[in-house]
Amino acid sequence: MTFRAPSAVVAVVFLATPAAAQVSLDTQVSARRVEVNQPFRVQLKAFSDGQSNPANPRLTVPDGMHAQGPSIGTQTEVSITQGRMVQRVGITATWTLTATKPGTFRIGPPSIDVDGKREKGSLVVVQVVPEGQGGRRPGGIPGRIPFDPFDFFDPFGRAPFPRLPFDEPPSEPETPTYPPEYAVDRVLDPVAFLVARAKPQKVVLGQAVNFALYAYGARGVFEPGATTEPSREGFIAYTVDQDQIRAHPVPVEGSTLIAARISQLVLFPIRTGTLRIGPARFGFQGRSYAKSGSPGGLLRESQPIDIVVVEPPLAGRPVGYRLGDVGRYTLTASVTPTQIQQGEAVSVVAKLEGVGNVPPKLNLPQQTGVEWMDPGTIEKIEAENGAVRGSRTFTYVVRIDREGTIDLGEVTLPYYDADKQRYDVARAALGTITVRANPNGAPAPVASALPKDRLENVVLPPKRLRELTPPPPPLSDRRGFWLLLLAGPLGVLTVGQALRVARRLRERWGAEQKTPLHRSREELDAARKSAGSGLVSETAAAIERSVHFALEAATGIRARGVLRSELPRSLAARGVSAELAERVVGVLEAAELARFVQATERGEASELFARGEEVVNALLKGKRG
Amino acid sequence: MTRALLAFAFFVALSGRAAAGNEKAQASVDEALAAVERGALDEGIDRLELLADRGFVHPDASTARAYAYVERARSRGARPGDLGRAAAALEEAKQLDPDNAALEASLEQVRAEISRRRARAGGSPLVQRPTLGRAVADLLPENAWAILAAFGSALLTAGLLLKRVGRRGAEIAGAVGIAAGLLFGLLGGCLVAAARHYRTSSRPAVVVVPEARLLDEAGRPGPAKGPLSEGIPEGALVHVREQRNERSFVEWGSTRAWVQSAQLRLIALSPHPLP
Repeated sequence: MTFRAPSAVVAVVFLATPAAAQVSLDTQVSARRVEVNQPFRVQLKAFSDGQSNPANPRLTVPDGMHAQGPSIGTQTEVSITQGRMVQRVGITATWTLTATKPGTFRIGPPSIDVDGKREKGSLVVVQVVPEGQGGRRPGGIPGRIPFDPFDFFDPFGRAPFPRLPFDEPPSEPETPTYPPEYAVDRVLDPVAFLVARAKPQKVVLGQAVNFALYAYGARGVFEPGATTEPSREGFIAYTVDQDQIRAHPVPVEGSTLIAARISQLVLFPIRTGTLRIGPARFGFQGRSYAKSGSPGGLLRESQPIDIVVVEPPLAGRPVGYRLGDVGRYTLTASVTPTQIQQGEAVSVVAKLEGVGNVPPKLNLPQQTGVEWMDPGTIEKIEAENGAVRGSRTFTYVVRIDREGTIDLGEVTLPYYDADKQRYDVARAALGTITVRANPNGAPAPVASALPKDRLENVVLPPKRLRELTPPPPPLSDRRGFWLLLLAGPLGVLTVGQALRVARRLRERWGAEQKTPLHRSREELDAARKSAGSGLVSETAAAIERSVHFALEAATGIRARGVLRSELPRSLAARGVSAELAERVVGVLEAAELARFVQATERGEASELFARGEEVVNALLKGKRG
Repeated sequence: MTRALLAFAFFVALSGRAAAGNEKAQASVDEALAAVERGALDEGIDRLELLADRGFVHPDASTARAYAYVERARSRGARPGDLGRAAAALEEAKQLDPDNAALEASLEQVRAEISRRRARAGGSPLVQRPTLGRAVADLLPENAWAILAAFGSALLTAGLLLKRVGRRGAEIAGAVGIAAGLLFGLLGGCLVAAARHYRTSSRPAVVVVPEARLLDEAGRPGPAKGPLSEGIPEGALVHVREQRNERSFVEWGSTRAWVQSAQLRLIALSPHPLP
C-alpha cells in the first residue's frame, strides 16, 4: 500500500538556487502620520529562494528626517507549493526614523543586495505634523498598541532604558515558529524519524480519530521515498487532502530538524475493543540521508498506536439510535407534491449534513397505508482541516394508499455528540399530505392480507408483563452441593478408618507406657503359668526377661547389652551386693541353658521359676509399680 | 429494633425501585406494541431492542419482540433476518418460561417458515442433531440430575453404614445399597457435571441472518470441523463456546466453526429487571 500522494505535496526539498533567484521585498511603515520628533519605524522584509542571504540594506531619508539602524533579523521560511518545497532565506531590516520638521516626506525606497544585485522596496510617504497635533502617546511609537504582551523585547512600546548614542542598535533574534503539533520532546533518531499521533485515543464507536504522521529530518532537506500507509483494521479512513504541506524548522535539543506532516487521516472505528493503527513507513531520500540510487531511501517506521473503542453510554440513548452514528448533524426535508390522489406517490427529499461520518440511514415515520421505497442517495463528504463533514441527500418515493389528510410525521436521526457527551436527535417534520379518494383505483394488496400468510397469528403479543420470581440458581452452582454429595459416603469411610487407626494407636501407646518394674512382674506371672504347665523353655524365657526387666528397674542397667562376665562388676557399681549379683548371673545362666530343653519337666520348671522369683523379688525389694 | 426497621426500609426501597423499573418496562412494551399496531414496525422493534439493550429480560418482552419481528417479516418492509430474530426472541422466551407450550409451538412454526423459504430459494434443509453428550444431558433439567446424584449419595452412605453393623442381614442390605448408590450417584453426578459444563462453557444463540458463513480461526471462509461445509441457516440454535474480536466459535450439532458474532443473537438465560 502506498500513500496516495496529495496532489500538491510530494517533496520536502530545499531547492538549489538557479541562476536567477526569486526575490520578494515587502516594505512597511508603522505610521503614515506622525508628529515632529516622534519616532516611527520603516521595515523592509527581503526573502530570496537563492542560497545567499539578502544583505546590506540601505534607506535614504530626505532632509528634515534622520534615521537610526537598521536592526537586522534573519529568517528562514520553508513551504511546499504545487509539489515543490521551497526554502526561502531572508532578513528583516528595521529603521527608526524621526522627523525634525513638519511636511510630507518621501522616504526611500529601501534597498538590499541579493546575489550581487541591488533590489529595491517600495517608496514610503509619511505626513509629519507639528508636535501636539498628532495626539501621540509620549515616548511611544505610533502604530503600536499601548501594551503588547507578545512583544517580548518591548512590551510597553518603548525601551525601559534610554539607549546610549554609541550603542549598536539591537538585532532582532531569530525565533523559528512552527505549529505546536510539530513539537517533539527529544530527537528519536540522529538522522531521521517518524512520529505518528492520534487524537483522541479513547473514543466511542463511530467517533472520529485524527491521525497524523510527521517526518523529522536532521540532515536538511529530504524527498519522499518508498512509503506505506499504516494498517487500520476496524476503521473507516478518510484521507485529508493537503493542498500545501509546509515544512517547519523545529529546534530540538540544540539542533534544528526539518519537520513535515506527510499524511493525515480521519479514522472512524467500526467495532469496539482495542484497535491498532499499525506502523507507517516512510523513505527519506536525499544526499544526506541515503546513497543515490538506493531504492526507497532511508526507511523509517512510526510507532503503532492503540485506540480504545467503547460503546456510547446506554443512559439517555434514544429510541432508534444505531451504534456508530456519532457526530453533530442537522436534518432538513421537503415533500412534493402535497396533494395527490389515493395510490399515488410523493417525493420526500431529506438532507442530512454535519460533522462526522455522515450516517447512511434515517429513521422513517412508518404508518399503515404509507409505504416508503428504498431511497436514492447523493453524498458529498470531505475530510478537511482534520474533520470529516458533508451531507447525504436521501430521496424517497412514498406511496400513500389511504385517503384523507395524512400527517407524515418526521424523519429523525438520533446521534451521539461525543464533544458534548450526550445524545441528540436531528429531526425534520414532513407536514401533511392531502390524499383524494381514487374511485377507480384498486387498493394495494398488503402482505398480511395475502391468502397464504403462514405467519398470521403465529406469535400473539402479550397483554401485560407478568410478575416473575427469578428462579433459584441451579443446585450444582451451590458450593455445598458437591460437598454434600461426597460427604456421606466419604464420611462413613473416613470415620471407619479413623476409628481403626485410633484403636491401634491406643494399643501401641498403652504398651509404651509400661515400666520395667511392671513388665518384670508380668513376665514373672507368665513364668509362673509356664512352670505350672511344666514348660521348661517358656519358663526359662519368661524368667530371663523378668530378671532383665528387674535389673533395669532396680539399677537402670539394660543387662542384655552387657557381657555376662562383666555383669557382676556392673551391678556392684550400682550398689548390688556381690552375693545377689552372683545369684542373678546364676539364674540367667540356668535360664539360658533351660531354654533349649524341649521336654516337659514340671520339677525343673518349678525349680527354675523359684530361683528366678527369688532373685527378682530380691532385686525389686522395696520397689512398687 | 433499629436494625430491623432499617432492613425493612431498605427492602421497601428496593421493592419500590423494582416496581418502578417494571412500570417503565411495561410502558416501553406498550408503546412498542402500539407502534407496531399503527404500522410503525421499525419504531416498535427499536423500542423493544432498546429495552433489551438496557438489560431488561422477561419472557413476555421477548415474546413481544418476536411478535414485532414476525409482523415486519409479514410486511412489505420485511428485512433479511427478521424471522431469525423472531426465532431468537422465541427461543429466549422459551428459555425463560420453559413450561409455556405455546412458545414451543410458535418457535416451530417460525422455523418451519424459515425452512420453507430457504427451500424455495434453493437452499438445502439443514438439520443438525446435538452431540450425544449434550443430548443426554438435556434429557432432564440440570436440577433433576442433581437430585438423582444426591439420592445416590444418600443410598451409598446408608449401604456403607449397614455394612459396618456386622449382622448378616444388614450386610446384605448394605451391599445392595452400595451398588444402587454407586449407580445412581455416578449417573446423576456425571450428568449434572456435564449439564453444568455445557451451561457454563457455552451460551445458546440463534442465527439472525439468512446464512452464517463458516470461518476458520483467522476469519477466512474455510472448512469447519464436522460434516457441514455450508453456512448455518437462519433461526438455527447454536452454542457459542468462545468469542474473539468480532467472531464467535460455535457448536452446531457436531459442527464446530467460527462465525461473525453479528450474525448471532445471544439468548438470555434468566429474567432480569430494568436497572
